[in-house]
Formats: sequence, C-alpha cells, structure tokens
Amino acid sequence: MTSRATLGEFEMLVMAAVLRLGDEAYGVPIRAEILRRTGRDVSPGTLYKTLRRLEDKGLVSSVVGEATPVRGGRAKVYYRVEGAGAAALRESVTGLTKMISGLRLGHRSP
Amino acid sequence: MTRPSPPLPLRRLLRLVTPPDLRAAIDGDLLEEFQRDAEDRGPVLARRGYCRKVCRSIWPLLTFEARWSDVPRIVATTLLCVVLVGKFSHALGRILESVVPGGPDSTVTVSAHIGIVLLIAPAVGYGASWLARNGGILTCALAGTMMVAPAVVALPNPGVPYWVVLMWIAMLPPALLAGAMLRMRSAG
Repeated sequence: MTSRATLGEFEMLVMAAVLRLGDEAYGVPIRAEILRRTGRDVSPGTLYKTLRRLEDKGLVSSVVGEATPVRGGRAKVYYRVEGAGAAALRESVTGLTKMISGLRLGHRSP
Repeated sequence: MTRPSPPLPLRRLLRLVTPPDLRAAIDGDLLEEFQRDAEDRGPVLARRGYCRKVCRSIWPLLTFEARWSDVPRIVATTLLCVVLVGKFSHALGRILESVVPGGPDSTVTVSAHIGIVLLIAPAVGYGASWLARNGGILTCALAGTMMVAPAVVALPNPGVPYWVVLMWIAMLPPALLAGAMLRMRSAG
C-alpha cells in the first residue's frame, strides 16, 4: 500500500494540463488545454476548486502573477506541479494503466 | 469606442460566491475570456458565454471547502455581536427608562424625522460593512430601509414600541464591527 496521495480522474487531467503548459499554466489556458484535448468544458469554479485541493495536498503550488488590462486589472495565478505531484500523477496513471490493460473496452481499431 | 463588458449583476453574484482569496483569479479569468470572445464572436455571444460560465461555477464555488474554514471566526464574531448588542441595549434601556415615563412597557413616540434616522442608521451601517465586498448590498439595504421606514414611522400615532427603538439602535455597533472585520479580511 502506498502513502502517496491518490488522484481522481479530473485531478489527473488538471495536473497533466499544468505540466503541459509549463510557465503559462493559469486558469484560462488550463481550461482551454483540457477542452482541446478531452472535449470537456470545465467551469472555472470546478477548476479552481480542484486546484485548491491539489495545492492543499502539496501536489501543486501557486504564485500570483501580473495583472493585465484585459483582465480588468486582476492578477493571474500561475500553477506549477511539485515533485510530489509528478510522482502522484505517475503512480495514478500507472495504476490506471494496469487496471485497464487487457480489458475490452469496445474501442474501434483505427 | 468603449469596450463591451459582462453583465454587472452576474459579475457581482460571482464575486459574492467566490472565496475572497480566489476572487481576483476567477474574475480575471472570466473577464479575459469575455474580452477574447467579444472580439472573436461579438458581445452578445460573449455575454451569453459569460452567463453560462458563471451559472456553472456557482455550485462548485458555494460548496468550496475553503469557504468553511472561516466558520470558527464567523461563530466568534456572531457571539461577540450578540454580547455587544445585549450590553448596548441594556445601557440604552437604562437611559430610556430614566427618560420615558413608564419604562420598557411604554411606547416611545418618535417623530418622523427621528424615526427615519433610526431606521436608516443600521442600514447604512450594514451597507458600509458590505461595501468593501459588494456595493449591491448597500443598495439593497437602503432600498429595504426606504420600503420599511414609512410603515414603521407611521406607527407613532399609538407610539413606536419601546423594543423596536432599542432593536434598531442596537443593530448599529455590530454592523460597524462586522464592517471593520470584513475590511480587515479583504485587506489581508
């Protein structure tokens, strides 16, 4: 049994998006990345609630960025995946892969 | 040419339901998306998209665990307010008892001018307390007061009940206290 934090499906999506975006990971591009890759249109409330949960677990960290006129002078909050977060994501993906390997899920072959 | 802007009531609603530390981030994100949508698809569709996003965000934000971290402070503030109201009412009661013949069982005849002041004072206090967070609350408080004031001030024929006068005056200190705390919280 592992003592590491386990991730839910949506938490994995959010962390993967943050990892992909690197230094540009704040609310707007994170939601856009999830929409572009999975087709899921996530509400800002849901995204920030999940990010806060991940932050509380110590899996991501946030830093307040610059404010821009297009944002009405509101500052961006940038997120970064921490080492523990990357490990938790890797573990969750490995576990999921092991669970579904060999299953017939009804995918059509390309 | 002025920039299009999202519907103000919805923006205020969003600010009201968002935990204070995330307010700038979420409000800013939605404004940024709104401006981009307005350029790409026009202001009407942008406003529609904004409404949809806000409506979909309300429930997750209302059930945000972070909101409940303030419960002990809210309970402590409420208890403090109750004590404060009690003490203040008691002190006022003593003063009124000495002034009004008949004491607490009597009625106080309040002139229209004083009645309006009595009614507006707590409302202004509450309004000021919320001003740091949402100007709409001030409007609601004043509108409510304006609706209630004539009805209560019409009572002086038989006299305004003693406890009504006490209640209205006693509401002011906790309102100002709450205002001060909210301002400190939003500043911190």
